[in-house]
Amino acid sequence: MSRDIPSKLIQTIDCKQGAVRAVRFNADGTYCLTCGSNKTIKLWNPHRDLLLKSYQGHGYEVLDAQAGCDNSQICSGGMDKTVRLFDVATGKALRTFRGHAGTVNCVKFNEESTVILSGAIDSTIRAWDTRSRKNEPVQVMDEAKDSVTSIQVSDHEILSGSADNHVRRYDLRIGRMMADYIGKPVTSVTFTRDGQCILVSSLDDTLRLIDKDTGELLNEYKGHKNSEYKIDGCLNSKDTHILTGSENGLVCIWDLVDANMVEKLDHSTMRAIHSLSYHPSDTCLLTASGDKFYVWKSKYAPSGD
Amino acid sequence: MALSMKMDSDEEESFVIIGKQVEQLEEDEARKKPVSVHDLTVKDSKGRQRFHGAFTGGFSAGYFNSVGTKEGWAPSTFVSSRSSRNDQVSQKAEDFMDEDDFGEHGIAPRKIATAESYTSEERQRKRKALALAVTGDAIGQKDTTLIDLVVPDSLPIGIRLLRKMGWKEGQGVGPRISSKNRKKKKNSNEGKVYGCMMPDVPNSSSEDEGSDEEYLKNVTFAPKDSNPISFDAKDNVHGIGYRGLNPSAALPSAHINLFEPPPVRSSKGKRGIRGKGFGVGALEDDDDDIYGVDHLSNYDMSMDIEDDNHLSGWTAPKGLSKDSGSTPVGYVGKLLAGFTLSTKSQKPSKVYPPPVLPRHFKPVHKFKGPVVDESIARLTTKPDVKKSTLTAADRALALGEAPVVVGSVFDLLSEEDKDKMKKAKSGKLSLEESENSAPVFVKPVENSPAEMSSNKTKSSRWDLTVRKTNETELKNKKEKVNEHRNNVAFSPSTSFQATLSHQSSLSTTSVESTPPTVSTKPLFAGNLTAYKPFAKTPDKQERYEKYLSLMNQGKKDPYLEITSGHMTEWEREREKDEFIRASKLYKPLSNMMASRFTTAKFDDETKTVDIPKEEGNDKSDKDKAAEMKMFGQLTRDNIEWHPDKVLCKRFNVPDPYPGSSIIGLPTIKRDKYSVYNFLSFPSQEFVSQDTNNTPPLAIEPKKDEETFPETNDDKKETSRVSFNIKKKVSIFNVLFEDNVSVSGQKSTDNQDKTVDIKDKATENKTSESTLTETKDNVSSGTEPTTAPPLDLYRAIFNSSDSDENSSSNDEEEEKSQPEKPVKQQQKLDVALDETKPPDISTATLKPSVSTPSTSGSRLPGDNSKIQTIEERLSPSISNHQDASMASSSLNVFRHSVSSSDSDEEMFGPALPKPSSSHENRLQQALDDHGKNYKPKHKYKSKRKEKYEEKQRNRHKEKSREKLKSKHKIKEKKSKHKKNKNKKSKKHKKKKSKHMDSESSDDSDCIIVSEDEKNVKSLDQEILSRLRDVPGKRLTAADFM
Repeated sequence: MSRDIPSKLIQTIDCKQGAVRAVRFNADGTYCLTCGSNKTIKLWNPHRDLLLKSYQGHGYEVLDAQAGCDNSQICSGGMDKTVRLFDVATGKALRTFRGHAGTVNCVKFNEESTVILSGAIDSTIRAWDTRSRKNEPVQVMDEAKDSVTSIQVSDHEILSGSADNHVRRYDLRIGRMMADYIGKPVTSVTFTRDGQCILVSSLDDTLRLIDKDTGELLNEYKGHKNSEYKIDGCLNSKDTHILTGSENGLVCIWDLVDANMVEKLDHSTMRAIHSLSYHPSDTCLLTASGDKFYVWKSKYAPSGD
Repeated sequence: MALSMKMDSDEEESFVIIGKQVEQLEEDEARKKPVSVHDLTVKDSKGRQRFHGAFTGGFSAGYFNSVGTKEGWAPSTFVSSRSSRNDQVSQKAEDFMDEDDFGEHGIAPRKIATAESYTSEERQRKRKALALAVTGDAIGQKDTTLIDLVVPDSLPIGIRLLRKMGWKEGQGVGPRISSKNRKKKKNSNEGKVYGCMMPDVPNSSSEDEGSDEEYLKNVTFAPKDSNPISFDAKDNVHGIGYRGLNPSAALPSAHINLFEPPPVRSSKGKRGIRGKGFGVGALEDDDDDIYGVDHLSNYDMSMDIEDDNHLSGWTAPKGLSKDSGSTPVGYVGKLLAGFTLSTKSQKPSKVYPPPVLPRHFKPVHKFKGPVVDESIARLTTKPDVKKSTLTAADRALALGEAPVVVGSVFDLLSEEDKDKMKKAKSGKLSLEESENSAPVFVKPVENSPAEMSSNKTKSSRWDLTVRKTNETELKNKKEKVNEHRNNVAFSPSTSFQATLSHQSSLSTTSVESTPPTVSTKPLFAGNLTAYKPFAKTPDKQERYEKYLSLMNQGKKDPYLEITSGHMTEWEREREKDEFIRASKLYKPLSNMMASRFTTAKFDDETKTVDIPKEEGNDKSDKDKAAEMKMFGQLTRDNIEWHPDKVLCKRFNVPDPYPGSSIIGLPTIKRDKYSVYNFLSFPSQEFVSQDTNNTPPLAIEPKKDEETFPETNDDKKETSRVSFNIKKKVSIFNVLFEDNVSVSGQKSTDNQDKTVDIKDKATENKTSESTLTETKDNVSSGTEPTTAPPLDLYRAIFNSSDSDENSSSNDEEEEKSQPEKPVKQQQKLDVALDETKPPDISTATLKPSVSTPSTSGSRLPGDNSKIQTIEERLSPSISNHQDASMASSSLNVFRHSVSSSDSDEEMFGPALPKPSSSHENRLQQALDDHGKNYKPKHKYKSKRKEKYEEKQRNRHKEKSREKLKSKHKIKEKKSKHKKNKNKKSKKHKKKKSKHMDSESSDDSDCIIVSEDEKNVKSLDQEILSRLRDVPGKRLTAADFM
């Protein structure tokens, strides 16, 4: 049980790229990306404290990034209203997609990394085709009434949370949009790994586990502080625990079923822990706060350094 | 040469001289000239010069050199074939060749080459043919691999040669030897014995030989055949002498049971070494028959350890047999050989449940018409619907909303839940309150009638008290109610829902922005009075109202009951027609209005409203549900959504809506800032069934009474209402900039607006009746008619037999189209520009109503007709024309023109007058015209298709076109006399030209011939003429 909780701080890495806006594992969890406020994205091996490459091209702070399924490309979006596609090896920006009218909050690849979905403050989600030469989005989903804060993509679904208190799920397979009213601005949405539920964090210090198919509330997780910032929530690799950052320098971990808080990871800072990324298979958590990101592993794991 | 000779003589034996020796040059000898190229001659092998030029021999050279005889080629001598008659005489090319041709450079050189039969291809071919001959058809021709295996019985040439030389098989090669020599040789050979082979024991053969010796003296023997030592390169990595298991030994052709060890032969008496191979090491004592018959049991055929089930020779994977025993208990079925059951259980495939049916879903649709009617009937049967008793439902009706299906989620809740909620809420907010404050929750359409009625009663708290109670208003209200009863049956409830949901979302802001003191009377009272199409004649209006109420009660022919006795049959017919049209014409307004307004959340009587700090009071139902953690159906919207094709492709998902061109939500999205939003019909707006939260309509839900100016007494009360459409102005702004001020000033002059719309659906009247109708209008003078003028035109047009008249009418009709949006736009502009409130009149409400809503899918330009100022202007022009233009229909117009009291003479319900002087307008129109006028467009067809097409065109274009056509008429008329014969000619010509593109009736075609100069001058003429008409206001009536 305790083996599954990343309670041991292995490493604290100073990214030296201003504020770290997001930290994201790649598809297999060997590398991670950090998005900095100094317009760069950095590629790390978090397990060895190794900076591999940094990617420049954005005109303003980078707010989100994701590595493609084959690790060959990185998509990113930022406050320069653009969505960019980087080549991992060369570090060059392959494509720049312009079209958003505001800051791009979140970007995600689809499963095959052929489409980039970006959600922006202009309340639209845009789907960009990386395969075609067109610079126009394939589709614009402008159903949201307020800023789109978070996107998740599964093989046939696009899940988005927006500040208009809704979680919208676009199911491409059945051709429907499910809009779930949450009641408070949604800051982060995540599918559970089994794809049956949605974890929604909203600006009322609450995470909700919602059944994907019916929209019913399955569980609520409280105890952290999230009323101002866009703070990520996530699940661990085995769907047993819920993790989220908090605005008081903690990461709170709940048991998924019991909804009791099992662990608080103290980052010895009072800043908000706003970005989390859980390793896809191991007990390893990346958190970002300020200009650092932290690597947490199981307490049995050997220390870094 | 001499030198070589000398050398030869000197060293005859040892030297061979090759080549020609270079001559030694004598010192004193003159140098030889080098031989130039052209001096060289080519000679053949025999030293004869064979090539001659014309000057060095020519023909004779050829004759002597090559041909040989005087006659040329020597003829072949005649040989009698008598004796060899049957011989096939075949001539070959070689017969005609000489030695040169066969020479090295000839055409058929002869050289030594491998005979074809020895080339590999040929041999292979032969071999194959042989093999085929042997095997017959057993082996297919194509299968060469098998054929290759068949070795034909042909001996190599060496053996054949040897045989010819007397060699026989088994003999050695060499000269035959005598027996004696042979014996000697044999003995010498048998000196030493190496290896494991035992030396041959001399046996009795010598004795035999000895006995033969006498008579074999002369007999020679062939030498003994000896096996040649083969020096094979070692090309493998086996040990020396290793030979693989010889299959012929291991598996002899005779059946040997390999699986039983052979009987052990007793080999006691034998010597230790025998068999083949190297033998056995010295330390091995018993090596019985190791190298004897090979036996498979000596070999380990499988790699794994001995298994229990004694399946020797079983080479299949070991795991199988073991695992097959451990088939899980629950497993039914046969495991395929080579497969094992996976230990991991497969993830159950996800089942997608069918969509959840709504609670009250019935597979058969039941129309709710009667239900609605009932509720209305209940209202109407009440003797007096006072203002004070006007409920929210009534108001909703007045606004043309669907029958009130207003309720709250909490009606759906069970009592327990309600209690729970009560507990959850603070004591201050009772459930009842929250229920009321929840502005609108639109229940699914599937609500049962019972629920509906209960909702209706509940919403009584929404009652609105109206302070102003004068007679007319009461009347208006009545009428309004009637009106909306009318609408109820038609207005789509879905759009209503959408509207309401939008309203609810906007309700908070609207409350804050407009204090409740703003309007103390019902917001739309003023507007609704405008639904009085026959205000001029109260009794007619009364009849109309009756008619409406009867119609709403579902009477089939409501007019029958309201006819008054003093009317003639014809009058009745006409009035009925008017009523029908009027009732259809004014339906959709409510719908449109409903989409623009939000329902008031607070009682108009209370001056102050407590807006709770926490928004708990006016939270939507969703909010409440979310607050109560009742996520699920209450908070979920499931909306049809169309992903883009490419997106589907990229996601590897089949397109859920193949063939659908919609992308995104299936709603029609309108340009937010388009004038056409105001002109188009709400009924047209397609709202998908399940879009409860359709994106808000493009129009800001602000009160826009500016477009419908009210009567002057209401001015101040509605003054605070402002119209906040900004930048919704498009081309019209630019085009009519100068007009804006004028129209703004004259906004009180409502009657000038003659914007009207005609529903085509009502148009099953014959033209005759319409004509008579208009005639009647004219004659009666003061009596207004409901028949919209454009319908009249249409009717006339349909029946006309006169070319010119009908065409002029038609053109007027066309002209009339575009002005409407312009006017409206002007009004909007005015509203924008003016800070002071515009006049609000009851009369002008109507024109802004743009639709009849029965069909629900009408396009703006489709059937409706809009009459405009220009239209009114044109008859005045026609008035100047000569009498030849007069026809039955035109008579009517002229008649009406002559009656100068145009203000009173309105066709159709309360048509507003143009707000600016005709001069101004014409000037502007002419400017417009001047820009766009194309004189080449001379042909004008008045057919319906064209008309409709034009209507579909932009209004701007129409205004241009309209003016143009006007001029054409004008010109045509002026030219009419002098060009009579010419015209007919041209007509024919033009017609033939246009025949293919436009197939039309002859009577419908009008060709106006003109040249550009004429047009310009005519423009001027018209302008001046129009200016000459001072101050005369031209209205629609002018030319009716």
